[in-house]
Amino acid sequence: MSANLAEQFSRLPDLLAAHMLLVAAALAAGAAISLPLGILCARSPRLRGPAVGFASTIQTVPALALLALMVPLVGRIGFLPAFLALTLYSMLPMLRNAVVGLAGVDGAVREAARAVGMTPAQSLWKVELPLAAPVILAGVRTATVWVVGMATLATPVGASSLGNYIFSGLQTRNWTAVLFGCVASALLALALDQLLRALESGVARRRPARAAGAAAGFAALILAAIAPALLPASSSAPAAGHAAVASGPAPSLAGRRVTVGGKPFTEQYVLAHLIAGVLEDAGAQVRLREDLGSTIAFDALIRDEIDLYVDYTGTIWASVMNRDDAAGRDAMAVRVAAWLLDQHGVTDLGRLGFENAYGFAVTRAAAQENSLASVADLNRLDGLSIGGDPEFFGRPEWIAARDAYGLQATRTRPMDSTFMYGAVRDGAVDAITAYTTDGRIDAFDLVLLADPAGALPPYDAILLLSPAAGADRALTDALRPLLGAIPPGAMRRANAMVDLEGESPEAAAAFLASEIGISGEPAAP
Amino acid sequence: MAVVQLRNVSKAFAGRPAVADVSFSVAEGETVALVGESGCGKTTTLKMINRLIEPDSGELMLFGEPAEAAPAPLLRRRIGYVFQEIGLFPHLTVAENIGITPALLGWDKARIAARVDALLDMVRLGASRRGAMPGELSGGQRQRVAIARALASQPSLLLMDEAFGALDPLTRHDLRSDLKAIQAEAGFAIVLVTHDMAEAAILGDRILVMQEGRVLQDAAPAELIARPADDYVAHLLAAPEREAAAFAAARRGHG
Ligand SMILES: Nc1ncnc2c1ncn2[C@@H]1O[C@H](COP(=O)(O)OP(=O)(O)OP(=O)(O)O)[C@@H](O)[C@H]1O
Ligand SMILES: [Mg+2]
Repeated sequence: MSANLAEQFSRLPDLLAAHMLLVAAALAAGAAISLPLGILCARSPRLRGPAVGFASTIQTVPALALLALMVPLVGRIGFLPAFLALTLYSMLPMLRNAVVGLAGVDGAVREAARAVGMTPAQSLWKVELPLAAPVILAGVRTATVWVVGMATLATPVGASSLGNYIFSGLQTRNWTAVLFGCVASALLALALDQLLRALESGVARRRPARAAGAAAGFAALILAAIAPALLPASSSAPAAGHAAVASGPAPSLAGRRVTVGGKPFTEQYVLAHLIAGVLEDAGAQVRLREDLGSTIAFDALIRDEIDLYVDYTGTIWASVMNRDDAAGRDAMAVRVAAWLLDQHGVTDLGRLGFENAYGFAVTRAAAQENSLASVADLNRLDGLSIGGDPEFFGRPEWIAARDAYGLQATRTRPMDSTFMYGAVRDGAVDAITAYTTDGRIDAFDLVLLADPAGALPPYDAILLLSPAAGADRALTDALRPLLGAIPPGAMRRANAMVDLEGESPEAAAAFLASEIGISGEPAAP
Repeated sequence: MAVVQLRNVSKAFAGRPAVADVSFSVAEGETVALVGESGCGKTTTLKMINRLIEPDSGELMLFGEPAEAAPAPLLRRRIGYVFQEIGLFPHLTVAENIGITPALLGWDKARIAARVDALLDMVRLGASRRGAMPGELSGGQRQRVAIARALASQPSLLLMDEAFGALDPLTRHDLRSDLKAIQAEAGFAIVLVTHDMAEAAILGDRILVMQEGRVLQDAAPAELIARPADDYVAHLLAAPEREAAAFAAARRGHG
């Protein structure tokens, strides 16, 4: 078994447990709402239209959008918004099948139930529900398969799931991880589906033993998978062990729990691991919350849900401060820091030393052929198409660049950032809005076009701390060695290790740490 | 004391009268047969007696009290009902179907089992069919289970809607005499709906002839045959004789 595959297996217990916990909780809550609601609807048909209509409407909202919408609604990231979205999503099949199943019970049989002396409740429990059970269970089955699949999309709102394999694998071009996540979630859906099918046929054929066996299997599978999540975390202890054997003075952050956030792309994974290493050396217990959506990470920070993460001045300037005017690199850094502290109590500890800006990139061959040197020169190309991450084309700087260089007629092709470098290399698009620290710029022989109008703002990497974390002297002291320590070349090489050489983000972080002289070893006195 | 008493009971469906101004009573141990054309309101009348259908107007007394005095489910546990559509519970076994009302009344298991065995014997279904599902039975066998179910809780009143319709003539004959025998012993009253005039005359102490929701005539069989209220009643009551004549003619034709 390759090291990569072994690495994926080692993450499985935690991610599977988190995934199952999410699925089981959402299904339980969904069933607890839908089944009684279905019974009410069967009793009073006036309720049926609105209830089924509501559930159907939820179903038409794209799953990812529904998950993302829950974050502002509940005002936090993590398990809760994912749980709520999945619960809503699971309702339609269960509600619809409960309504249809109960309505399908023969009227003569319901009348017979009254005639033998049953109360309405007895008729429901002894006659109508048993007769509708196969249809109702089929609805539970559908909901289960849907929710297992949809739970993989919970990763960007900060809930761990098997989707972590897929999202981080996609960003780091680790196709083994992507495939692993897909297969694991498909197998899980299949296993649960088969158990529910056995339960359903046991109920339909009135084999109580078979039905009970399947139900027990279903419960056991869920419990076994969830168990690691419910047991006290024993795996996050290595830092404490390390500290215990250290002979020097007690580490400054001993016992402190620190949550490091990150957005879903390679550089962020590498930086998150780098920071985690520094903090663990100081004795902290670090928890990583990677794969947070761009603005979700910031929202989590101001609510103290994560302690720190790395953002970029231009992102804060445009997406958080909603400014669309230009500013020089240093001026922007100063104003961003002041604004963050003033408006949100967020501490901008300082710049890491490199910029990860957007830059228009073309192949060297295309640049030479059409003598492209500046963004304005792109107008020489017929039917110009530009690829970029979906976020970029929604930002003010795209509007600014478009208007400054007359790119109005350009076809924009939003795509995942992982794919855009290959797309320009292979000629699928003429230019891309590259990240200037991406290792693939050198590797694919791309050139960055000049921006004489200064339309693209600076993107200095800055270390942001939540209001609580910013007040922690020991923590800020431990992090300070990172400031100004990472030159652009080192960052680009670390990114290339992951994106081009298939190394893990941890390995790239270790390389970066030794490169900038803050290696995992405790500093010599 | 009258077990059932209807006074000026009416029921309309969507403005169309199904039962209009019907009055009659049934004494303890008595059997009353409801006859009449299809759609004349027999089933509606029967269902109003155990309150499956609530009348629009009129008064219903059950066991000497106004029908609304007790909760309907409790009343129904004292009244056996055999449906025209049979209405067995498809998810319960034959034994569970028969034992359902005793179970609702809280009888213990042994007593229910003994009762179920006695009834299976009475309706001539072997004890081997105890565990069968209704779907595995023939139409006639299902009807016999329905009759057994209606009798299970030793009711004071038995309502039967074409309860013998799906049975072969021999079983029908046997079941009728058995029913008469148990009735003589247990003393419950019966209201039965039938299209078979011979059956009405054999089982009924009285026959009620209905037409378009109204009672045309209410009399003992002999009285009814001797003095029919009008041509319609006379024609209806002559049906068995017309059939016998037709049967005799067929036999001659083949003989
Ligand atoms: N639930 C109902 N809704 C509307 N109309 C009904 C309903 N039940 C009965 N009716 C109508 O009331 C009238 C009497 O019906 P009922 O079932 O009492 O007839 P019946 O004498 O039992 O007929 P049959 O011998 O065919 O069983 C019929 O015209 C029927 O269409
Ligand atoms: Mg009828």
